[in-house]
Amino acid sequence: MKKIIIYLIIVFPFLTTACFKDLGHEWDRDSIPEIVIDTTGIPATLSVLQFDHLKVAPTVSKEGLTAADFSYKWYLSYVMGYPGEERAYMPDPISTDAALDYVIDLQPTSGSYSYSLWLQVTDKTGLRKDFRWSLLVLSAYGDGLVIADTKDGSTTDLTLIEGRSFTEAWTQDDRISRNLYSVKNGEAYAGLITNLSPGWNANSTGGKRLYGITAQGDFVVVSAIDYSLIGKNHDLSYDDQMVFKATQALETSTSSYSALVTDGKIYPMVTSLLPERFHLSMTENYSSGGVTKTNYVDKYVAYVHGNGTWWGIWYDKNNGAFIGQKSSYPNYSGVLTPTDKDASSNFDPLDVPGRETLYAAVGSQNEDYFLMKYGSTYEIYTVTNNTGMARDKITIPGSEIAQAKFFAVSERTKTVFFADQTAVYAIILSGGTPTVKKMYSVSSGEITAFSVFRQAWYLRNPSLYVSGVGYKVPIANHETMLLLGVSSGNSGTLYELPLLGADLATVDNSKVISYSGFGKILSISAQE
Amino acid sequence: MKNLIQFGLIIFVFALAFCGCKEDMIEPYNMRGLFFTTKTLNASFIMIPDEEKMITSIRVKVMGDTVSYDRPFKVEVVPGDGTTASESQYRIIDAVVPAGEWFGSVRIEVANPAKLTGVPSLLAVTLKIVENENFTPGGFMDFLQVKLTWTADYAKPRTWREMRFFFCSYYSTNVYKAIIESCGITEFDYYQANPETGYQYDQYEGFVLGKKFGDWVRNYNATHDDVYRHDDGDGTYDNDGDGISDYVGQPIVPLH
Repeated sequence: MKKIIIYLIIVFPFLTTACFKDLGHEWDRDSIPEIVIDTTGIPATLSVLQFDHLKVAPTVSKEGLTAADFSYKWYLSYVMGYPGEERAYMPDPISTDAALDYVIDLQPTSGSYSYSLWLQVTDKTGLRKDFRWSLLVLSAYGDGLVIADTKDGSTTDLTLIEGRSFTEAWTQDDRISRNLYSVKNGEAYAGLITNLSPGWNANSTGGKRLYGITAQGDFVVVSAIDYSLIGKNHDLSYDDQMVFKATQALETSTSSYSALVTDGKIYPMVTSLLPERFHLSMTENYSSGGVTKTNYVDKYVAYVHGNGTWWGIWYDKNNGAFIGQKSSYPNYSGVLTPTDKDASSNFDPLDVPGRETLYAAVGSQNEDYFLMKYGSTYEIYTVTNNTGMARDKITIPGSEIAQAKFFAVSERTKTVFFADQTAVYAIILSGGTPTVKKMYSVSSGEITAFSVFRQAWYLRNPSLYVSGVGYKVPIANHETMLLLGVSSGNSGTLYELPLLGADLATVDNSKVISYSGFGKILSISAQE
Repeated sequence: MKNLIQFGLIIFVFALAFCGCKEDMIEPYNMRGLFFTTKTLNASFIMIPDEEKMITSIRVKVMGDTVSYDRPFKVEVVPGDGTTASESQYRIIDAVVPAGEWFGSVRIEVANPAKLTGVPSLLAVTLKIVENENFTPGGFMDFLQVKLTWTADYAKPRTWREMRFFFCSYYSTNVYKAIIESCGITEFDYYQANPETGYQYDQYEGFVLGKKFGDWVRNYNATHDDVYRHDDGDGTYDNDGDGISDYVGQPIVPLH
């Protein structure tokens, strides 16, 4: 037995060897010096303007080696996103220099997505050290004002003005980038884009858009990042039976839907798809007074930017009624609801037959404004978009309105603006009696485009417009400036008309600014 | 005897000591495994009744990683009840998992039964994956064989389980006829891209197609004495156990 114990004592150390980690190699490994990639002063997330040079020059060193002892491979992913899998999207090195200097022609990033820049440094012994940066590619074109014009009466091109009047934090001289569409697409757009408005594609690689409607009612989407044509009409629709007689494009809110009013219907457009796509039109039938009625949207919808109780209200021409949808976005399968009246209503919103909608928009104090023509009479109807209740019916005084070609409202005041061929007018509704006031006359040429300046981000996400730290405050001209395109033949001038007074019914003539060098101005829009 | 016990104990202790020296390997994952993505597949000449032959594809999926080169795989015909076609009535063209892909397909050319004499209207061939230098049969063990049937008549489409969420909840030949008639499609690849074309529908296109189908049925109902009905079934929803779907004979109700 004693021998057994002796044997066991001898054997026991062998039994326990697996219980201890072998640390013998650690010291040797630490003794091998590492390659050091010093990125001091270089941010972890790089940013560069599209088409600009990306320059990155880290300092590489290793004990006992000189600069000639290293080789470099710079890789750049060609798609956004895919964290952890970027290397699969980096086919060949873009550079083998120690310092990178590379022109970035990637699509600008959007949302939380970025590209990846990957540096591999190998020393003469074959040891390698890597470093990875996130890369944001910024659009070469920022927020500002886009003007659609024609120089030949049949095609449209786009010009962007970035300047203090239209662009946040712009302190330098105005930058005017002309012929953006034809430069990008090889030729001007075949057709006259008479209605231009900001849009947005919610896909991770989408971003800012411009929606255009032509004189013939075609619908076109253009990237506001590089002005490439995204698509037109059925390029953007799953429904090959969809009829394009478009009258209004709606960028409704931060949700993934925009919409188009066309041929008496509203088609939601899914903006999370690439390209954005229409599918089914919104429900056509609705119940009113126990009767099923078929809706026909009369050209324009007063639509709430952001999340409203009623995202949109419009005039149903078939039934002479103001109806809408109680939803935060245009829901193709949601029911349509008639508006209603209460003790403070001075008209029955379901009994206004025979009208024609000239214009519809959201005004101040949650009121939707509808400019309607009834025979030779012109009227304004207001309906609240948070309750769906009728408010006021106003007959527009004077004869000027009969010649009106363009309309606009500001969300800051109870004033409706209109323009005929040569002058701009205000319909002031804040007093007891509505009055029409001439605000501005053009000395030559005719007015061919007209709008209120409204920053594009506000249209997409007005919930950002809340005072306080971290929220956006629009620039001073937002909703307080009229934009006027005045043309003679196929040449045009843009005028910005700053407005004064609580009613915004006075042009500050001392601050009117003009921009010349356009073709005939067809439409004006802000872009993000 | 005592020494023998002592010796035995020593051997035992040594054995204990050495058992820690063996690396406890996890059973290796079958990185070369390959399996079909379906157990049955139907093809029909109904859209191309004048064609003598057509090519159809059966998808496979790999268990392991992708590689940077095309990988052919091998299939064999399984004789028996699952194979009613003769060798002259089908031809295996190729079987490849493309470079960089987890999915591959075997392409088979099949003959139109309507153009042949003395053959039933429905033909079938059953295939199994066999080992080659790239793959072994592996993965989902129920999916190592596939039965391909083809016919000159209407056959329940491969993608019916996707179609049922957009067109009609129940399958019948009349439903399928209306889908083909109204939308011009025989398959609706919603969960995965079509193995041949790479096209994949999204729900919004599905809404539009479903509405077209619904409009077709509603128009039929408005222009005929009787409404459009299920003429047969696929054996599902058979609560009375008579082997026939309970909805046979009922009106077809579109989902959109």
